[in-house]
Amino acid sequence: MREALEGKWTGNQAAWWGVKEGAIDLVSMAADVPEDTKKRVEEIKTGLKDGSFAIWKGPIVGQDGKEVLAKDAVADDKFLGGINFYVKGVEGKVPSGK
Amino acid sequence: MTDFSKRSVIKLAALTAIAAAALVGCGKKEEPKAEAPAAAPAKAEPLKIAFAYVGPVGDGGWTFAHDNGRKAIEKEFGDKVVTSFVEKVPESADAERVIRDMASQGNKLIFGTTFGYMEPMLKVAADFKDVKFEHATGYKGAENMRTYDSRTYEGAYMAGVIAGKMTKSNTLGVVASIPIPEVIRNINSFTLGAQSVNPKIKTKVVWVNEWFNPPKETEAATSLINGGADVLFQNTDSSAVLQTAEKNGQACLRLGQRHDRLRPQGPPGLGHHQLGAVLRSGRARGA
Repeated sequence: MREALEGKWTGNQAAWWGVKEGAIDLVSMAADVPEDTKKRVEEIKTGLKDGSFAIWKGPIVGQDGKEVLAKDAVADDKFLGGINFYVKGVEGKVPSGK
Repeated sequence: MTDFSKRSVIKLAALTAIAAAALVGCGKKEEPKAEAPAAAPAKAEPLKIAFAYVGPVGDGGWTFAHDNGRKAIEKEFGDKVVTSFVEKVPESADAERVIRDMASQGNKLIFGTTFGYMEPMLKVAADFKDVKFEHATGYKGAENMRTYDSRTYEGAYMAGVIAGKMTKSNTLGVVASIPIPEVIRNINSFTLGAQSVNPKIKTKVVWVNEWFNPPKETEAATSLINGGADVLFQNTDSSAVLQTAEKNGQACLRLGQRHDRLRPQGPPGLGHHQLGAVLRSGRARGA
């Protein structure tokens, strides 16, 4: 937007913003949510911001029981962009292609 | 029914995971300091900006959020811009027609806010080289087209942590939209978040195959509740899931987008540009 106005816009880019960039936040947690849970959510946010916490960090096991991410391995964006399986605990099948 | 009181259920329903998608270009952060623009245009015509929306602006979710972003752009840039939008643009050949019209009408920056506009936008972009195209959540770009997206799975994970703590049945339900990687990733992230605090979690999923279809979303939510899910998460756009959950005394988390404030505390280069924070109800992606 600003770049377009200032003539700095360039194509062929992909922006993917998260908690770290201030693009994702969780707000207005209901009063019913227990304190420790709220605290945990805050910890996660802090961890995502400073990079000390990764959601997609192994070991993560797929629905079929096979490991999809080895222990301590952290998924990169390419991995995240191609997820087409369910992790263990999700029931049913991933619908095949659109 | 869980034993949540009705009152607490309503409050729970107010839980919102906010995925704020910055609509506007904060470019690559690593970009070296640009030289001063060679020559600023002597007199600036207002930049015409058009938005193609998949849903109605009143959906309270993805489209609503984008439209708030559009309004925020108007507010911030004043007479430097002229904005317009077309709502309820189907993800079909119609999209190409609408987007082509926008380009023909002199819009120089066009936002396509859903995944399904990717191919139509690419086609139009190839014909209008002097128009810039911003596409939400896709994976193809061009010289004059780029994509923007937000890591909604982070919100999904946090919603999962809460759901995992709140559930009594250890069964969660997701009303899912269209089976693209982002939505599948959100279901997984939601589940991983829940399992991080409650290893017994099982997640049931019902696919609606649309972003916005209140009757189908209601049906999906009802079937999940009947199947034992006591906390629902929606990755679709309407408020139907929330309403169904409320009616049945269940909790519901919406992953949504909401434009609730400009964020002065954002990181350098981004905060200021964060015009359109969107809160999507349960939906991961502006498809």
